[in-house]
Amino acid sequence: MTSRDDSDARLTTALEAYRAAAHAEADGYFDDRALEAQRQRILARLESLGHRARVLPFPGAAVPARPGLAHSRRWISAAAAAGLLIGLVTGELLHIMPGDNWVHREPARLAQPAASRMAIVPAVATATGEDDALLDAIDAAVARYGSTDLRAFNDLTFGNEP
Amino acid sequence: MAGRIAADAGSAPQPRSGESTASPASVLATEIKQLVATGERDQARERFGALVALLQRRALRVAFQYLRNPADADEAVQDAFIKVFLHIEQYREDLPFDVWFTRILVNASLDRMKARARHQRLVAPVADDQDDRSVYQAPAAEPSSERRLLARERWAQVSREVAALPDRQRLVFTLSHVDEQTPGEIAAATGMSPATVRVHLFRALRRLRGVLRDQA
Repeated sequence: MTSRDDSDARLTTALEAYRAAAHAEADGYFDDRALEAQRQRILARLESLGHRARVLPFPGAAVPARPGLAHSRRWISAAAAAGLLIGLVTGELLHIMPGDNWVHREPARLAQPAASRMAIVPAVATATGEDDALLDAIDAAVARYGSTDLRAFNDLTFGNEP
Repeated sequence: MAGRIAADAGSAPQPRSGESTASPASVLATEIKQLVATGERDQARERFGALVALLQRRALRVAFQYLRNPADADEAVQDAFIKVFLHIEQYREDLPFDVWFTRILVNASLDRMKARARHQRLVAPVADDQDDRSVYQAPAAEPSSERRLLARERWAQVSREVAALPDRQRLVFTLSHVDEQTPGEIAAATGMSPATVRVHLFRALRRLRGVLRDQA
């Protein structure tokens, strides 16, 4: 036998050994039980292909809504909108209606500018002047008549405090 | 990685001259196709279970040698069988089913490799010793622990060399020397010409010759 023949024979033997080792390695991972399990998985996958996919409910919709709740919510919304509309219309009508003073009076006072409010001061001063005149008249009367009743009244005034 | 074999389940492989196509798998596939065509899907699924049992061990060996990961091989084989059933109406009875199935299996393995590469880009890479974990499996029972250890080391060396082959060479080598397919069958399954298959096989053996001689 030549060296080339010997080399080829060794290579052939090595390839056969490689094949046997490769098969043994794969078979070590996949024994009969693993093969049966894989077969069952394949058939299960094929069976599931024929069925329509199951749709899971969205978590938010998992709690069933009460039947009348949506209906009543709509009514509440409609009533709120109607109330708002009625309020606005009524408010506008009250501004427009003639012969009603209370609505106009209050805004007029509120809308009075600061300058006009300052105009009250002379009126107060006038009232103070009238009060002074009254007091002067009382003093004169007291001095004129010397009534004891009026003196007692005079004693009650601030000018006679101790 | 070798490119995905064109026309996955839609086109059938070329018939081999002078060979019978009536393998047990071909007979079962023809029966399943007729059952599906007549709407008897439950019966078709039942017969498909027999077809799976007939081919799954061989399919797992090929997929595992190519992917080097048992979980990936399991997924790839499952996907291949599912695809076969879904496209069984496209199977041509005058052609060998085994070759058609090999083509689908190789494409499923390639898809799994791509998915794994995508996953590895997204997650942190694992340590090197974990990567080689599948390589260090004991290939077969040996009479003594010393010989078992020696065989394990040699097997690890061969596995590393095979894994380092270019993708097409690795595919051809695996189909030829693990699945025992002829160059004609490999050509039909991969879409390469028989001459191209022989060239890839020759180059793969040239690269592996040194380490295989040591193993023998």
